Amino acid sequence: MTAGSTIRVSCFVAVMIISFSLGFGTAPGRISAATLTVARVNPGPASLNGYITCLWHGTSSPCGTAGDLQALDWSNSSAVHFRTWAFRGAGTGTAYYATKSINNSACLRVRVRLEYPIGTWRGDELYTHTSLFGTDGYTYAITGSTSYQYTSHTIGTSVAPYPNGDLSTCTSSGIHLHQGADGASRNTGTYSSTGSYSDISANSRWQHEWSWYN
Amino acid sequence: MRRGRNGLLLGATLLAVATLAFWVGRVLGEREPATAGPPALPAGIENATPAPGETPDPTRPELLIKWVNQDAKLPRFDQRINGIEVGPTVQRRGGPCETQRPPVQVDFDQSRGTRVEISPRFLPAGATIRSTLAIMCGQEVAFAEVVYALPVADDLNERLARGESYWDIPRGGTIQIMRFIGEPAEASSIAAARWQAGSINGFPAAIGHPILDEGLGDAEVLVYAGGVLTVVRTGNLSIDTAIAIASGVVQ
Repeated sequence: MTAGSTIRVSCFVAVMIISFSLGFGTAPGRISAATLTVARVNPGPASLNGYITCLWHGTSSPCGTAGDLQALDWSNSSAVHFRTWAFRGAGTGTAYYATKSINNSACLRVRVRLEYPIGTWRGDELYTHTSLFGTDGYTYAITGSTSYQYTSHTIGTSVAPYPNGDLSTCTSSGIHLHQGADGASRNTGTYSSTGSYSDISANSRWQHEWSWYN
Repeated sequence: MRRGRNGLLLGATLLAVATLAFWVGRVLGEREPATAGPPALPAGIENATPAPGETPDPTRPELLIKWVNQDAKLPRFDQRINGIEVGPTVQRRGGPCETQRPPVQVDFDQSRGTRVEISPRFLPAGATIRSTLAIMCGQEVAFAEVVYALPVADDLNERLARGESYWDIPRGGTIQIMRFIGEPAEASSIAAARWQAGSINGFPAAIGHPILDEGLGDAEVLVYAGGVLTVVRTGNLSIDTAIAIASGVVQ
């Protein structure tokens, strides 16, 4: 091989490498594909054997009135838990963020806001007649997986009616947990009558569900 | 002459090889569909806080959790801002519901024309009513509330992938507007340092800023006028938007 042909071959190889790198580096879609996330929130009473005293009614309304029909009244007089199952199509990792804060309406209320990415609203779980437990504004990173993952945090305590805990503007007459939501699907198949429900932390016993593509 | 033809031929061949290599690289580089999704979270980000002097990058929302974590470490305590009590253990008090028992839920329309009427003159685009509530104590509607929801942009991920600012993309959330007769006192989870005194339409106000004023986290604007406390609570909206909503409620 002559010196001239060596230079020519070197030129070809160099051009091929540079061009290939340029093409590879500027290729579109170098970010992950959109994948499904499902966030399920289960009932929050302290006991895993829950008891529904009032079926689906409004998140901002007492039993017996209309509204968004997202709320169930649960017997409860102590701790309130945020229980969630998270599906993450992209595999194990943070499925969403859950931030707890005071969100009083006519009654004392704790809100757990679901976001992903942080700063983008996916839904609200609303625990009425509840005072906040723990750090105000604290955000949990909720882990999900392709086979669902369970997480539970204590986020509040049920309070007695005014003047022993709840607000003077609240129409509630007995201590209980009124658990509603904003923008969720409801599990009306499972919760179809008042009465007892065992193991309310099971995945199939979710009360509210949201889903979105990341 | 022949040298010139050879040079041309060599150049053309090089160009062809370069083009071919570029497209082979581009095809191989496209390992995932072009449908945009968020980038993977950096390791350890869930518990991270911003480095000294670090500023948020509005094209990388996956990093904003650092500012949320930083905010959660700030103290919350009860305080009086411009005569309005705010803080985590502040009790709502005063008004007819303390003396005229029991409170009764009434049709929201009954709050029209009362001291607690809610008729906002400004709302962000896309806001739709999610719920309404009115409570009567004695002969007076003493409490009213409207909650609005905002939509999330369907193409949020694509717009982020194109480099658009997170703050300019609709990211959903709720707007809660409450008005009630009573003393100027309301509970809040907003960090103590984020509150400042202000004025809305000439009335004293306590303004609780979001974590980032561009629109990350809750903001609260409380205005006390004529014995009525107005509370506007927004999520992931800018402080300017929260103030504009409050200005359109208190007249």
